[in-house]
Amino acid sequence: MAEIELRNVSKHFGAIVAVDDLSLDVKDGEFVVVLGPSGAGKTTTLRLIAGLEGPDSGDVLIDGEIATRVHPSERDVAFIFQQYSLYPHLSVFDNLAFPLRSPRRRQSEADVRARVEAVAAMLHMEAKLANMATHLSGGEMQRVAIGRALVREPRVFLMDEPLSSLDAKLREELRVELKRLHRTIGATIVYVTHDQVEATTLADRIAILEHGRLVQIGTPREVYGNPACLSAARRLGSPPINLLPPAFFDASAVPADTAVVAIRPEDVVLDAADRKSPLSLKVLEYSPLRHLLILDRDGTPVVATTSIERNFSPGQSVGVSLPARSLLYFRADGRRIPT
Amino acid sequence: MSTIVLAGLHKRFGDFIAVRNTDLTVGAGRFVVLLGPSGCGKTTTLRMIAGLELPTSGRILIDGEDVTELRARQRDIAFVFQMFALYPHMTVRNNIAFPLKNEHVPRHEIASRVDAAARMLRIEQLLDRKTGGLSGGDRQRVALGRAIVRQPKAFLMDEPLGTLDADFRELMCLELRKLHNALSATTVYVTHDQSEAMAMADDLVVMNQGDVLQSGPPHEIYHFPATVFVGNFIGSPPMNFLPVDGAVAAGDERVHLHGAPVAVARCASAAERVLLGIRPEHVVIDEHGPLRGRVIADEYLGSHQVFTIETSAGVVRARASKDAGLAAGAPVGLSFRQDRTLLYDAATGRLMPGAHTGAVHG
Repeated sequence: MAEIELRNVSKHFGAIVAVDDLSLDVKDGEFVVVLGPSGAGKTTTLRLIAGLEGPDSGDVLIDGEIATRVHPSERDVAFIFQQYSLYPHLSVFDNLAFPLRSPRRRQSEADVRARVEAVAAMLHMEAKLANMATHLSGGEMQRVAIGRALVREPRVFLMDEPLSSLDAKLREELRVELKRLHRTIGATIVYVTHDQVEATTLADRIAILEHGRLVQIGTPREVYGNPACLSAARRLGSPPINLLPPAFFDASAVPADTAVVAIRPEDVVLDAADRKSPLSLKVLEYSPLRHLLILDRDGTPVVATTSIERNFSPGQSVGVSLPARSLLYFRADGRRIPT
Repeated sequence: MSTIVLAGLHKRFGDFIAVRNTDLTVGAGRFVVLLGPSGCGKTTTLRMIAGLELPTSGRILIDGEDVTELRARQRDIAFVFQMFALYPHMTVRNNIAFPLKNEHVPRHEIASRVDAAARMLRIEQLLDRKTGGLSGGDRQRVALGRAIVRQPKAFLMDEPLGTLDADFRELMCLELRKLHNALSATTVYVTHDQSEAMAMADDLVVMNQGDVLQSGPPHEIYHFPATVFVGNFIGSPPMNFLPVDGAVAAGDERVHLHGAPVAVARCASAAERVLLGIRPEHVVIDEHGPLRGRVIADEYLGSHQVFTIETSAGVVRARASKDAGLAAGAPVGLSFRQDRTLLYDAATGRLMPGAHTGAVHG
């Protein structure tokens, strides 16, 4: 397995800056999820690590060695794409065996069989080895694509939205399996997604990218609970973090230069009906299924999530507290104001 | 606003039964979502309503009129597909106006209907653009506009958001629902995505292998799944199902899970083999809880977390607050919210009636 380091890497496509002076290190055996909106440079970053693109400046290091001039096939990294490309005329077994049968490997057929069977067992695909690749469901095809990477025992796995073309149920299943797989094989994985559930559940660390720059990197709890800037705060959270005007609060309690006060929906405290509350808000919408309450004050929506099953009806007033320890303050340019 | 009634609707393709003797009423102005895994028969059902597929047997009634033998174009229904086919060389305005021109609607009437639809969909500024260069979401809005201007008796939608990416899908969900609130046109919507279904449906119809397993308001289906399949299919993570020791008799208010006594809502019938069903948010991590286990996994989701706990009665998933600090391997006790426990007959997979399930439909 391997460490990866990007040192001040930049990549332009014509006038577009895809990756802008990006420095990032991925430790041996670490699962790093790169999260960001489309166009943030996520896929380009992955392709730079794979060697499918060369940086305009800066270096990509694998295990401390500069990989920038090393051909992709020599880097010993496996790339898994959103669109699994299997050989339709081959069986699952032959698809999995394909990378092992490359003339450069010179593995005996018995070794190939043993390795393919071990990987198939890991992916719960033993029963499907004889099937043609085209006779598989979407989830099974993606499993074979992952398996084809696994048989090679590469130093690094690079995954580009590998689950995004699958439906919700399968996505969840494969997500759990990927996590288990990572624990079993201890591989170094860099994983690109825009799905925040994948990010918080899979990652050892999340790297948030925007406009080709690293906005924040940290454990899911750090990035969610202690965002460095407004865009990082908004990148994670479903429903999204509430953004409130400072006028909502007592002026003496808000730091100077505050443009936005943010609070996570689960941190909004709904007071018991008989209690006198600092803030009284009107109910716009209540969804007990999603544990979701949408409130309103002077046209500013405030979203609260609550596990309490109370009957809220639109138009009624609800007492709310916004505890100071849960508030995050941001400047007009998006920078966080430390408190 | 129209009412759609399916009576004993049945569709066979060779040996394969796609839809089995289905009875279903779509009330006037309702937004009904057909939900199920691929191959469950939801799209075939929709295509039969549209007139794109002829049923093997059974009838389809729209506002009381038997339309089973009518051609698609005679049914006055608008179909919105997943892959929206727009004319790329035409402007947005002409794309939306197209169905009306075909029906020889007077020109001023076309103009006012197109403008009204564009306003509703907030694409007025795009009316004179060609559709070729539009984003996926805008193209979808144009496709909807083309359906709206016809003022059909009903809208049928087959995974119309399937090709959009996740963030955008959520937004379009809200928009579609708002649009429905404004038009209150009868809508039948097909999806395999439960969050989409939950967010939009007045009534949800859960299908599997050609059968309707349950229909009703989303919260009723979520809290009282009629079968083990429905409890598993709906909910993320799905409902927990744990085997109960021995038989259950009518009147029982307590069962045992591998020896651990658990209070349940009073059972109104009996079964030999029984499963206890409980949603992860109704499992309480409680040091005095009767069921003992060990944390084997923790999924952190920002606003909350989901613990996977191995117990002698099986694996249980529990939803907990983001602050609950439990390391993998930690021993825990579990209790269940009594009023939220459900019992299922293991032989049939069906929900057993209980003190709190009186209102459940089959």
